[in-house]
Amino acid sequence: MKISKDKIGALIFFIFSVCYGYYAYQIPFYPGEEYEVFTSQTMPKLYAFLAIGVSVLAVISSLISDFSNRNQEKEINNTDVVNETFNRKGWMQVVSLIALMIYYGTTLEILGFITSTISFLVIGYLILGERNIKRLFLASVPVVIVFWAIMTQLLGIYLTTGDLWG
Amino acid sequence: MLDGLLIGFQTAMSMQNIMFVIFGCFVGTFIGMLPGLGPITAIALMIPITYGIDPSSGMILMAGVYYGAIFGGSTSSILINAPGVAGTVATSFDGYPMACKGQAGKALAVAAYASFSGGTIAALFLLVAAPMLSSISLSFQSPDYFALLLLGLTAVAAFSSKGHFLKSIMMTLFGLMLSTVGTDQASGVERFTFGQIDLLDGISFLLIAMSMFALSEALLSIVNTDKKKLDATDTTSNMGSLKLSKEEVKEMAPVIGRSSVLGFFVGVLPGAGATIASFLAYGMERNLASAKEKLKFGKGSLKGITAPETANNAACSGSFVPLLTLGIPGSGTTAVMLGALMAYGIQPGPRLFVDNPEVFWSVIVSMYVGNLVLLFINLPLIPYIAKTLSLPKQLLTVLILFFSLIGVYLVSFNAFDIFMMAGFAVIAIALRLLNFSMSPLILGFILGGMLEQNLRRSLTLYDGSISFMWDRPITLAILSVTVLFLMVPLLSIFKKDKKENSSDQVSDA
Repeated sequence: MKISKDKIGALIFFIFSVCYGYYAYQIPFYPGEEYEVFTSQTMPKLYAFLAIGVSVLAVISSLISDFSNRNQEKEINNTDVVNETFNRKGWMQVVSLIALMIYYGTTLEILGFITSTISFLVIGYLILGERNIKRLFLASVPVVIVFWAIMTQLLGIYLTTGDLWG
Repeated sequence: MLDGLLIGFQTAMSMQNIMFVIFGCFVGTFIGMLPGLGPITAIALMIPITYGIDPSSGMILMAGVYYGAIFGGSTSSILINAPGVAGTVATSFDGYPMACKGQAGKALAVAAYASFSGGTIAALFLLVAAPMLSSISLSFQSPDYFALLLLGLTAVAAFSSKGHFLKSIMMTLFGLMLSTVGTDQASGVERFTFGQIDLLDGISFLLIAMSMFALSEALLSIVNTDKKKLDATDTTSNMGSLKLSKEEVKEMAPVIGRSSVLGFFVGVLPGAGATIASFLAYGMERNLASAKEKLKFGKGSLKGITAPETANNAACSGSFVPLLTLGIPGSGTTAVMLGALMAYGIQPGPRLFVDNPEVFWSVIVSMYVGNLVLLFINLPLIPYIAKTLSLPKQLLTVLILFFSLIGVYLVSFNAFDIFMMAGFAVIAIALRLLNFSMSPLILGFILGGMLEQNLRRSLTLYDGSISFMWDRPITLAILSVTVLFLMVPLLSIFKKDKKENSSDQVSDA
């Protein structure tokens, strides 16, 4: 049996729904709430049951499809697409950019808006292959300074100066 | 209605709001033109800006961005055969072949005139339909709203692409589940916060919209760098004339009439939207064409560009009907707008017409202004705007990431939101790779709170009995349609499997 995108998706959603359902039962009641018609657990429980039902239905539907030749062909195509997508070079860049976002979140309040944003932009351009120093400078420093000036001087919005600099 | 229109004109025609429409159309065209980025991303990027201005100006800006993005999508469809928006895929069937023949200018002009006509005719329909529906829906009660919300949520899945019904339902449920995170509004009990103080207020709609659309689309565009971009230089360097002959205008006129009516009504249906409207209009025109004309379709037919362009713009106007009158968005884009309206403290729905007439009417009037801007300012500038297609993608992608992150940070001033955005972007990328659509998710997320509120009220009103579902004829009627929307695609899934199995058995025998 080949694993298609449909089955992977449905299985992941099934696991997620079971976990969600488990935590839905852990939601506390405020005193006396358990006697009410509608509690804070009602909707989460309803969603969990529906989600489990739909994901089971999706798995069954794709299992039934497995028996037909046409769908088996589709599945082969699907797995090919998965492989093709995962083989692409750009994935390393995507992972690096996600790591860069986490770096930005970590440094924003420590280094301050200007320093952390300039470094975010420069590293981002470098990750995506930009090596022209003039372009690296022009697309980061002036952008950040102009943005900072508009926000702080024009609109009066406070942007963090950074804990590191006091 | 006349008074309302006057209020709308007064608001929309102020210098500030005209500037907002022009700015919105430009930004929308620019973002919509970038392959992979659609109107939802364009609008999501605008939301932090609109928080600083009054609600009617914010809605006017977003409406301009919406139109601009659809127009920008047509431009990239025609020039580089890479539609930025799903609603303009059908435009590329005939637009790109025309561009290859050196008639890119003409194709763009046809698209602009068709969009203008479709948008303007549909805005006239909206002018009549919205107040009418609004006055009817004033009599709606909680059970009716609950039924309507269910209808909106299921309709999006029912109109999803073939074979994606269950996936859309899963995404809707995922959105509904995410909406339960945070403090329960009625009881004050914490739900799914796992002791995190940052989650007590729930997950912000802007955060979800930005990470699920802007961030994931920008990141995936890195892996999806297609060869089509190379073709851009050829078509943009040789645009040809923008002028149309009398015969060509005559050929377009009946197509515009038919497609705008079709587009508007498809747009009004929750979940259908511009994509379905454009394909239906294209198919309708091909079927109505003579045998000789039929051969031209796919090779640069004027009717082939006019029909989808008229229909997708008409559908955009149509999708505002359920948003403005019932408070139920018909598409992912209007769902984002609904979220923005709620963030302003405005509750869309029948009361909007009464409580905030300036928002209601100025959005309608701004549609006319937006269409005029697209025709008279954007079209002549297209050869220059198209140059943006050759801007270094590495710079644009990182800037989109920056504006998305800082846009959310500037609302909450909480770095935890940036971490959440990174997490949701990863989830969105995984879901997109597994062919899940993001629109039902955002719809479920936005409507989740309202659904819970109305079910709670209905059950309280009926002492815990579910008889509210059939007590009022209108509730029963809406729920029946909802069940129909759910059952038809479900049955077709299993029927299809049964058919395939039986045909296989026959062939085996």
